[in-house]
Amino acid sequence: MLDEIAPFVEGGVAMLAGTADSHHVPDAVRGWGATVIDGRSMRLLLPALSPVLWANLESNGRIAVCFTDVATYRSVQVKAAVTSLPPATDLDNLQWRRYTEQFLLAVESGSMVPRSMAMRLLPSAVRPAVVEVKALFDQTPGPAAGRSIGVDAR
Amino acid sequence: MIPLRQIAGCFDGMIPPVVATCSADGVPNVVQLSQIHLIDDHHVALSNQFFGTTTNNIAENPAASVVVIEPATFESYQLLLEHVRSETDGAAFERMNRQIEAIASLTGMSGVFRLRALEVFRVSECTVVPAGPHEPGHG
Repeated sequence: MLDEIAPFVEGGVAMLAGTADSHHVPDAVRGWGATVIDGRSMRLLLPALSPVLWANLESNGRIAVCFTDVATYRSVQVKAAVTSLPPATDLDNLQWRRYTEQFLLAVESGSMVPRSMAMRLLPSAVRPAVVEVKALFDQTPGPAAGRSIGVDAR
Repeated sequence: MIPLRQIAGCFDGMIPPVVATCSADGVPNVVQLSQIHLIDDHHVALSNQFFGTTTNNIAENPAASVVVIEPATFESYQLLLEHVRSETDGAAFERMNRQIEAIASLTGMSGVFRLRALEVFRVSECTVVPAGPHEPGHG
């Protein structure tokens, strides 16, 4: 199922990430690119200068990521567990630029927000988190929101 | 803490906020909402339409984290919240129900966004989210 939604999550969709610390206090950030590595894993690009986010990933190791098409509101939520937190590579930065271009284009055409404004959302740098996907949910607004759409619901 | 009234534009419904919650056993959840409402200097309300997992999570763990965007500047702010009560009627509920239906009709989703409850939270922190140099890879 993860392979089936790869074109969606790897496109210029809005990417929202939720984590929590060891006391279960949550934290929300925007994500800046995702790549499906194989049928169970993803490489997520997250704001590098978000100390709470990285501390949460180190201590709790769980992450939820919601991908939303800004034009249609189609949304998919991924629940995953961290497998590694490697340093950013040149390929990550290339992927970040590619994602950002697609996202800004989608925002500009879908909501008529000027590119110069949407660019103010960008972080100063990104870092990757490699995660194993545990569950996928349809999060599109409506009565079916939250329906499981695949992978082990662990 | 940044005074909530200083960022009142974040609560006008123009840009959907993001809310993260966490279950009692430590599994986070994140969703985009249609709107967050400013109640007073220390309280906000989230409109509960279909976020089942969010509702379940705040019932067992009242903490939530929300990111809002000021539409005039596109500056992002993070709020740390603690759930205090649910409202299913009253003036505030009816006012927000009308606002949500108005937003839904503008986005072609009229009838889909039925308000189930207003979840009221106390705000314990409000901080600006650091932004970058406005060009990826040039930090």
